[in-house]
Amino acid sequence: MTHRELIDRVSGELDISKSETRQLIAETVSVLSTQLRGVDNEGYTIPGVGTFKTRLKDIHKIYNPHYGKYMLVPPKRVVEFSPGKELKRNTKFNKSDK
Amino acid sequence: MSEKISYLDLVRHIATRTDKSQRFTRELMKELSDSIESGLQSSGSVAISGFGKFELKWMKERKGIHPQSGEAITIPAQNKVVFKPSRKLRESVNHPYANLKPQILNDPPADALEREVIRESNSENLPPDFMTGADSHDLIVIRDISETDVDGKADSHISTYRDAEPVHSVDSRLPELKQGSYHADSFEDSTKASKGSDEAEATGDVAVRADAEAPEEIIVERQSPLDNRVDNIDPLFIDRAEAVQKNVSADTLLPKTPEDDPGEEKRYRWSYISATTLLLLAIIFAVFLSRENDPALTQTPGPETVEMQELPSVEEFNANNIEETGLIVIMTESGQTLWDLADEYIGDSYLWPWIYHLNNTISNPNILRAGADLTIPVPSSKDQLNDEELKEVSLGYVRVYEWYKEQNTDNARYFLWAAGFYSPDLLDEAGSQFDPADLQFARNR
Repeated sequence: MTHRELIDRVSGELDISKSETRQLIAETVSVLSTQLRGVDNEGYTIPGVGTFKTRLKDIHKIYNPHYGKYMLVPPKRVVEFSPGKELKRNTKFNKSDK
Repeated sequence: MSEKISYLDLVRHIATRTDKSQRFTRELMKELSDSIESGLQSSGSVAISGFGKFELKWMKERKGIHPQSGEAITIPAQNKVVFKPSRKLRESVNHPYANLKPQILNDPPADALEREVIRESNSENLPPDFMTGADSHDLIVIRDISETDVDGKADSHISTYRDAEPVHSVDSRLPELKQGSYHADSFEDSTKASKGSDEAEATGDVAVRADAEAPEEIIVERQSPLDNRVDNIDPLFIDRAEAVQKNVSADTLLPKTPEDDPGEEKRYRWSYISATTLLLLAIIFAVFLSRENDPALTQTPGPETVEMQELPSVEEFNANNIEETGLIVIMTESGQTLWDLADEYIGDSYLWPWIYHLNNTISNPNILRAGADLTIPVPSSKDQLNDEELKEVSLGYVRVYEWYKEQNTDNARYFLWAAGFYSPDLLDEAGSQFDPADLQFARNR
């Protein structure tokens, strides 16, 4: 489902114009993004979807075979998602068109 | 311990941001989650622009162990939901660490494999932006391992990266990378301790640390939760290095209000405005260009005569006329000016007002329409003009002077002077019709 299809569906279900839903979704996304940037390992849960949190990946040592050197990879903060129970249950055994 | 963001808070934020009721935003969120579910069921992926993409990934059947009984189990093949954050989200979340680059360890660590050591000594080509030990002062916060506070929950007196010293090795919590001897016993100790109570587990961990040989080198400190808060920085406008070194204060822990983040919307709208103005400008420019060269805007054709006489060609006409009147007719071409025409036909471009004088159709001497018929005087001799001709030139200059005077520019009087230059008598004869100040200027220059 592309972004466009999502807008079509939401505007159909809620009975709003497509341009308005586009704006609503954009602002929702903006709020979700800013709220995520809080404390690591704490985020929020959206019922029916799952929990979103950030995690700080520590420095760790790697061996880079291409350059033949040991290196330290710098810290990085990433987004983590774990699906909710309902979503998992409903999508577990779907064989989709893909 | 910080509070986790509740769903109610989220809904409240979205409601105030979008100016809708809370009930409506709850419906909206429910609709979004339903759409995600149905999209995953039908096509296996749902993309939300600016946020990320939810995808179903097919996991093949695998063997596992039942956690309680310990029996072997086969986990059936199934989908799992995966979320890939979009680039925007990734960068916004990783913003403080965006400019950090990997650091090369100059000496291979003690546990390096022999083949890797050999390869390392042979390799020479490195990417130019990798940091060597000398550059890594800004990289990380470090702490001496000899302190017993292992979990890092104590106050971190080192809160900025600037205080760091270069790092030599990594976290010795990872058993394989521990310096010195690696005891199988010590590993078992920690696992045994974890099965006991919390207290025993804690002491067990500490015991492992105390037993192991203290490495000479230093480890990475895990930061306290407060350090992980990020400033509400708009990433486009702050120097990244500056942002990394910024001290994080408690004020940034407050929940973010809609006022804090107007940047994204503004950027979104400005790009639309600039695009439309550029398009309009392009259209106007194209129209302007096409209008300039349109010959139909010059002299309108007169009414057609009933009898079509054969008009003489331009050359014939000129040949006939030149004897009587000393005038020829030419048609202007694009790019010609009075200056050029005077130079070509009269021999002196300064005499262009003569042409101007003979052609009342020209109003602005600076603008000449292409495709117009102009009467051009031909002087009797190339070298010197007779008095009549000079007078014509002067009259031309007077006309030019009058036009510039109408335009209210300062340079009109220069043309009056030029008129006087070519024919001084003219100023005396017709001096009364001119502005006295200009006349004064023209006479005395």
